This record gives sequence, structure tokens and C-alpha cells, in this order.
Amino acid sequence: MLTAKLKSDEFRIAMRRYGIFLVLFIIIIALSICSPTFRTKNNIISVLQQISTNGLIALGMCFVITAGGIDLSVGSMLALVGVLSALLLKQGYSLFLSFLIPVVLVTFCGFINGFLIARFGFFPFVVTLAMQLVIRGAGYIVSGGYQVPIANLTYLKVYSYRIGDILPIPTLILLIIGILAYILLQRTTFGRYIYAVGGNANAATASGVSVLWIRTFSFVISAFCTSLAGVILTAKVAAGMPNIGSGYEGDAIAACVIGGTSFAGGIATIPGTFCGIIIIGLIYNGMNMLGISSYWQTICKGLLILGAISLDMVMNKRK
Amino acid sequence: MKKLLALLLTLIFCMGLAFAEEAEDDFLVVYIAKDTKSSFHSILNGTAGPLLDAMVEEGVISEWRLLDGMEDASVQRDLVETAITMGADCVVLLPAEATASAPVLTRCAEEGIPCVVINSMTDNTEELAAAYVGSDDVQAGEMMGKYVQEACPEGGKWCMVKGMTGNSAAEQRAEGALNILEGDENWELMDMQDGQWDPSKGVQFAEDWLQLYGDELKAIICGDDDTSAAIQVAANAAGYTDLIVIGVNGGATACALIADGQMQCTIYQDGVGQATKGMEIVRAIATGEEYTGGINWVDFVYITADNVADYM
Repeated sequence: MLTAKLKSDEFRIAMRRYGIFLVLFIIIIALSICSPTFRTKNNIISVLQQISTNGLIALGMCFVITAGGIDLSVGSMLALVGVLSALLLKQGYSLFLSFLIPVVLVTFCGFINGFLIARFGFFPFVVTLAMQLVIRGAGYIVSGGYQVPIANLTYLKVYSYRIGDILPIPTLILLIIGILAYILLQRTTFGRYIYAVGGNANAATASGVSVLWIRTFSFVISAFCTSLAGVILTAKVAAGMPNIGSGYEGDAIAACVIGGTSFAGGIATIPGTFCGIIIIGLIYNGMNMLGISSYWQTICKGLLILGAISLDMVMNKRK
Repeated sequence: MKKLLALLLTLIFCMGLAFAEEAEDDFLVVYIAKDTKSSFHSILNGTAGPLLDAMVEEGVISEWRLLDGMEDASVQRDLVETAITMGADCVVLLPAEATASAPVLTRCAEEGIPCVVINSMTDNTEELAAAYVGSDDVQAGEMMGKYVQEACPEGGKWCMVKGMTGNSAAEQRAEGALNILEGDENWELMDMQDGQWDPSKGVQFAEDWLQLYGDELKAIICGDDDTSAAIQVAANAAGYTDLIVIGVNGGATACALIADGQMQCTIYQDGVGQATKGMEIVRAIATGEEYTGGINWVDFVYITADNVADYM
């Protein structure tokens, strides 16, 4: 009986760690069988390119959720980065500054989010919802409500250029940030503090962890990742658009949850989040390949999130 | 368990190496919709679909696919890559944005895929599209302006609820209205706001304007008639039944209000005509026949109580 229980526990732990990879494998197999076009080289590269924006946002969101928060302002951050970049280029600023200044400014917005939440104990949902409106409004004011076209070909290559004709730059950026995020979250003391604060903030405080700065920096990381996504998105559509990014936080949160990140805080893995990112991308791409209506894509994504949460509860036998 | 997982992952990578040949279709049309939710675009999509189905049945094309742009230029940018991967021989594009949807046309041009643009233009439509079918939105704006002048010759104050800033239809309709009314000394523009194609936003603006100007406000021009219909209902309920509210599309709600005598006029955008003409061009491309490239205009039409029955 003890042996059986140990095997059951081992199975549950393994499923908890690797179950999402099994889901990903099944999806890939199913789509490959149903659609010959799905498994072509061009399509796989295209999917990896397409998921880069959401992937970067999701990686940042993973830190925030793990530390016990949520960031609803990422969509508007994408827009602000875009319009600032485009306007700076239009004013004659160098490419470097057109990247750097918006990234720094938006990352600072993340600092504001985190500081307000961690210092004053405001609800993350409320603060980031409010900041979403402020940042979106700022984007409209700066741009006058108009799209700002980007004619600089080098800027546009941030999205379209493929290294060796295979590896898109956005995918490379996603991989690099993903590796850094993995090291930071799962291999450093800072990462352990993120888990601690998200798991039990009081216990973390009692252990000498600064909840204020850990939570603040989680939002800084989220904003930084989002600002990189904003640069890629702007290059993709060749314009700074003040209205872009609405609802993008939903896909990022979905990717995190599907990948095993717990809204209770303290539980997440970067590989799992990556898995969630790819699954979301495959839902859109695969269903388009199969000619399935976009209405079903939305339903599918919702059911997947419910499934992920249910699986998490069953595996942990939580009430 | 770890060994099993390692085996499964290895199988995934092996599958990845066994890239299939890209599927070859005789002639594949990919229709990149702006969205599949708004009423006007449902008319466009709903007209094009059966015509494309008919082409498949006749053997003119082998297959067609509808991809939903979700009103997001970034999504349309992804979808053109999907279309290219599928091996599209012709792309039909209904742009979400004038500037940000332009890269879709650029990609089609890079791949040598003819692109038929319908309903609204991108910045590079005249340069890169195989053909454009749409209605001259400046004409629509001017028609709204002229109607307001004729309906209220003594003039007064007027306001405008634009569609989404940056959208070519929104900008051009506003331009047309201003062409007519800005030069008319009887009319005074009090405010212009971005309604973002959202009727509820439009009603909010209108209610505030009525509070500010009351009976001095004689007309509200809207970018679309879902918004104008909502504003007219709100204005009538508040007692401002003489307020002229006019928009564009010829949607069911606006037509119903006109038939009921609650609204005076709307401008019909012939979505059926646009989609039909667009599909004629697609057919010509597929069969190698000659077609009218460049810009193909489909006229707007006034809908009033006299002819509303024809549009319901």
C-alpha cells in the first residue's frame, strides 16, 4: 500500500511538472495529422515569430503573478512604446534612442505600478487598471490619436529579419529573455524571494525578505519585457498605434495559467510558461489552418484555461 | 516517467525534422477579414462567402479560407504569413487600419501574390493592390453635409462623432462633412470627438452636447449609423426630435428607425456591391481574364422614408 501511494505521489508530481508538455505534444501531433500545412518549415517559423510578442509579455507577467500580483496595464504599455518610438524616429532621433527612451519610460511605469501596490497595499487589479487608463491616455495625447508611420527600414527589420533565413529576430529575443527569466526566477536568490513573497508574504517578511522591493521589481520586470514586446509589435505593424494592445493582457495571463502559474502566487515555472505561450499560439495558428471559425478559437482558449486550473486543483487535491 | 517524457520529446523533434512539402492547391484564395463581429463587415463577409463557395463549385478556385483579423492590424499581419504558408494564390484584404495594415500588402507584393483590397484603403493600396473596391468615404461625408444643409437651410450648431481616429473611412467621412459645412457660414462646428465606432461612446458625447447647446444644436454627423441610430434614440427620448442625426452604412437599426419615422436619413454603404465587385475581380484573377485594376468606386445612396423599404 505504501509503495502504491508513493507511486501515486510520484505520478502526481510528474504530471504537475510535465503534464502541460504532454498537452503540448498531443496538440502538435493532432494538428500535424489534421493539417499538412501546419508542419511545414515556414509555418513553424511563422508561429515562433508570431508568439514572440505575447511570449515576452507572458514571461514578465509570470514574475508578477508568482509574486502575488497581476498587471493589466501591459496592453497600454505596448501602445505607448510604439507611439514614442515612432515619434522619436520622426523627430530625427537615432535608432538606439528610439528604442532606449520608450523602454526606459515604460519600465519606469512598471516601477510606479509596483511601488504603489507594494508600498501602500493597493490591490494590484485596481492599480494596474487605473494605470492602464493613464498610460493609454498618455499614448493618445502624445500621438494626437493618430497612427505614426515608421519608414525606417532598419527598425522594421526588428520584426521581419531572419538570421540565416531561419531564425526571426523576435524569436531570438524571446529565447534570450526566456533563458534570462529562467535563470533569474529559478536559479537565483531573487527568484526564490519571488516565490516566497507570492507563497506567503508574512512568512517572507518574517524571514527578512523585503516584500516591498521584491513586488516592485516583479512589476519592473513585467514592464521591461512588455516594452521589448512593444518594440517588436511596432516593427511588425510599421507604425506607432495608440489603440494597439487592447486585450493582450488576457493572452499573457492565459499563457501563464496554462503553463502552471498559480494565481494564488508562489507557483510557476518558466518552461511551463513557455509551453503555455506555444499552446496559445498553436490554437490560433492551428485553427486557422483547419479553417475553424475564430469564435471557436476564443472558446477553446477559455476552456484550456479552465482545464489548466482544474488539472492544477486535481493534482494538488485542493478544495 | 522521465524516460517516457524524453522519448516523447524526441519524437516531437523528429517530427519537426520531417517537414512536409508545402501543400499544393490549384488556386487558393485567402480572405483576411477585418473582423467577423461588426454588422457591416458581416454583410461584406456574408456576401463574399457564397460567391467564393460558388467559385469552388465551378472549379474556378480550388479552395478558400476566411481568416479573422479581429479588428487588429497586428493579427492581420500574422494572418498574411499564414496565408503565404498555406500557399495562397490570391489574398482578399479588408484592412483594419490604414497604416498598420499596410505591411500585409507589402508582404503580398514581396511574395508576388495579388491582393484585392475591399472597403477601406491602406496607405499603399494604390501602389501595391491588384485592385481596390470601396466607396469614396469623402463622398459619404459630403452627402451627409449636404443633407444637413438641405434639411435645415437656416443653419445652426453642429457636432461630429467620428469613427476610430486613423481609420481611413473615419477620416475621409469627417473630411467630406467638413468640406461642405466648414465653408457654410450658417453652420458652426462646436465639437468633434472620436467615437471609436462605439455607439455608447457616441451617445455619451451627444448627451453632453445637448446639455451644453440644447435647441441650438441642429445636427450631429456620425461616422457610422449604429452610432447615429443610438444618438437619435437618445435625443428623441430627451425631447430633441428635430435634431438631425445622420451616419453611414444603412444598418438595420437605422433603417428601422427611418421606417418608423424616428430618424430622417442615413447613407447606405453598399457592402453587397463592394463584396460582389471584389469577388468578380478575384474570379478574373483566378481565370486569367482582364479585370479593372486600380480603384473601383461603389456609390453611396441616401436612405430616407421614401426608399427605406428597399433596404430592409
